[in-house]
Amino acid sequence: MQFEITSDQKLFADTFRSLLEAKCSSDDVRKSWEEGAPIENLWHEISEMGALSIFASEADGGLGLSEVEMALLMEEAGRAALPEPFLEHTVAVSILASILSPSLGNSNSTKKSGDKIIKNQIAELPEIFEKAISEEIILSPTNINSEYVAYGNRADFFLLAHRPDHFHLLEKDAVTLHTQKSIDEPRNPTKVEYDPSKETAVGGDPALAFNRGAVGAAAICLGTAQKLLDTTVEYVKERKQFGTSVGTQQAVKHHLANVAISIEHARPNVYAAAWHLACRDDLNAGEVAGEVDKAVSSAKALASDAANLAAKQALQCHGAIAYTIENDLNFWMKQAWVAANSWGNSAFHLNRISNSL
Amino acid sequence: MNLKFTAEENKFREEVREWLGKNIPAEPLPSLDTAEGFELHREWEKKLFADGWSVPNWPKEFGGRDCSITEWLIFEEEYWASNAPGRVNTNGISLLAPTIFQFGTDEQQQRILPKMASGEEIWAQAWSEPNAGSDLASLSTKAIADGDWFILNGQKTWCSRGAFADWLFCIVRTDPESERHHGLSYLLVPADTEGMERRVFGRLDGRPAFSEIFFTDAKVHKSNLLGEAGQGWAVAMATTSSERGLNLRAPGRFMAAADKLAELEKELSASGQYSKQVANIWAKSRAYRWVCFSAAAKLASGGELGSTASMMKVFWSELDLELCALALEMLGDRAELMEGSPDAYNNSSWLDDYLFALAGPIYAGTNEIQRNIIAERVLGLPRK
Ligand SMILES: Cc1cc2nc3c(=O)[nH]c(=O)nc-3n(C[C@H](O)[C@H](O)[C@H](O)COP(=O)(O)OP(=O)(O)OC[C@H]3O[C@@H](n4cnc5c(N)ncnc54)[C@H](O)[C@@H]3O)c2cc1C
Repeated sequence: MQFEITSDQKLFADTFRSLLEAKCSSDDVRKSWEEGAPIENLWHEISEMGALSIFASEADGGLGLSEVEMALLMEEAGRAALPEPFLEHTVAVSILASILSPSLGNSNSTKKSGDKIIKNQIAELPEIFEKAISEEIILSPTNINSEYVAYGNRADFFLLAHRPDHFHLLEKDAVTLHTQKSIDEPRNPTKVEYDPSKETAVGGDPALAFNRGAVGAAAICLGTAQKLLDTTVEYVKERKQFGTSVGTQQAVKHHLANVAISIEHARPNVYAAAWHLACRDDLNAGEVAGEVDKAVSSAKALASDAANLAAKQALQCHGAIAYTIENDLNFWMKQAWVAANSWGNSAFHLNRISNSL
Repeated sequence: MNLKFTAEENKFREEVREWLGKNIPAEPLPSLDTAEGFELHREWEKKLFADGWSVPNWPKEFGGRDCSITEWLIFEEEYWASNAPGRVNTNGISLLAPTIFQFGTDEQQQRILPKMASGEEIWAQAWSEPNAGSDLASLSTKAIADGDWFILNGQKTWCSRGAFADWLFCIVRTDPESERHHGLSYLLVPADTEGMERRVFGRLDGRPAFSEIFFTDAKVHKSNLLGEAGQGWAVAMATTSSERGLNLRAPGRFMAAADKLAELEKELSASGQYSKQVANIWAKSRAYRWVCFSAAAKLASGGELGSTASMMKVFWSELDLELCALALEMLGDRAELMEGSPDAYNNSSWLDDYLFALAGPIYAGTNEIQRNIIAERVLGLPRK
């Protein structure tokens, strides 16, 4: 065993981080929240980097990477408070990728299980997939544990988990949307009303997609939590009360040390869960499903807790200055609460673990 | 010890319940932290006042009904259990009024208290400054005496409901040469004072609930000085004891919330996975109740809460946060939905309550500061 992120993987994540630092600054995030509009050109730049096609095979013009790279990118997305349907689209692409070429789309595995194929139902499937990995359209999946599609207002196509065993694909004109307002404002959770039919069924494995989404959301939690911690550490060094920086107070130090402990113990768990997903077919047969689910659930539970704790202590150690929408920290706190709560919250995932022990 | 309510106390409870049952608005009012909601809540204060319920524990001559602290706690239990509107003048009634009873002149008491009781004048607290939060004694807003007037220069911030309030209660430096706790004074400032400007800004929930206050040669008459000039710190400390103890947060609020949480669990969670947490929160809400009834007995016999109020503040603020966080966990994918979402559960009241609960460990003296006080003044541990 060697538990290490490769230098290629690290480079990929660093490139993405640089892109987001340049194009998705906190000013850009603020503007996007306030204007209710995507950051100009950002989706295009993300696509240029290949990040929309992590799960597409190289033969299909994708990167042929795995859940591990996905997790690394999602961590960066969380750090930047990226106000885009990046996780949703990525999960949707992964579903189509495995429907279209079940043997591809994954660097660590040659064989795939789980993805149910319903042949020739939608002739345009390859074309839709092509457009999805080249930024022409946005896809959004439902998740088997939620009634809402995130960023439903941005999606061109929906992959809807009608029953636990397969998805339906519908264009936005073919469904009715009930958009809600989230505390994480750009998300616009949306309930999708649709008529499933033989013609709309495309197959895929909703349970697998849910696990991918949960690992992606766990990684977003990590990046968000880290950003909250880093920002707060800087702030408490600067902020003076009683003639000294508040960071010299042991109470403050301990709060932030607890956040660090929590993040550091969630992170390897998230990477391990991503690896389990990527290698699910090479793992011992029989035990696979349970082991993968448990790895994913412990990752999401711990990462959610880390994100919630980071948000709580970031606010507490800032004091009132962070309790206003004028402070950028509010974007990360709100993202932390919602990422922690989506794709199954801590309680959901702990329950899933306890049911399988 | 006798924990049975007297016949009189039971009758009082009945009376409160009956009045609330007849008078609570059929539809919940809009948030009191919006312009529209603020005025509707002022109307509600007037209605309470008209029947003697806005300040039941005050003396009759100022609009109260002279009830005991125990009766006031009963009033609060009934009030919160009934889903009545929030109290827009809380900072005046709970924080300033006790200080006016203690330090105010007859003229000030006659002039200020009845209009506070009736909702005609709504009060906001303007103590904090950008550089004086936990370290309030470092505040620098100056009020220099000039004949019958004080001339104010400086800035306050985080003033809750400062956007719409009619009056502010401030702590200012009247001796420009002084430092720290010395040379401070407690001054009441009309919001329409010339030379005073407010900049309203959004809280974490986006509502315009905060205000920054700027004083530029603002003139305030010396009749608005509460207590002696230079004694502001001592006067202010009387207020903080009210702020941390039962005045600001009566147990009824958390008892009602814990009961609602138990209802929510029944409705949403068949598995029983939250039962222990809900029971724990329920037990804590009742523990706080007993703490408050025993504090009431102590106060009634002339005792003081002193630093034990710090323990109460940590307890209720952390209980509130835990309670709201658990409710959101139960709501699952609906937890994030804001007011105005078609599917928001109960018009997103749990999310609103959670956002507000998050501030509990910060305002009224942060919980870190309270724990320092508990360790040093209650336990007698050495100071740093
Ligand atoms: C919702 C809300 C409403 C408010 N309403 C009002 C209002 O109406 N009027 C008003 O005047 N003010 C109001 N405030 C301000 C409030 O009083 C201050 O936020 C509080 O005093 C803390 O000050 P600060 O925010 O500047 O934090 P800081 O004092 O800068 O503290 C930052 C962090 O350092 C910690 N810290 C500081 N000193 C120590 C120490 N010695 N030991 C250990 N830890 C320490 C704090 O606990 C905190 O975690 C409100 C605040 C909030 C959040």
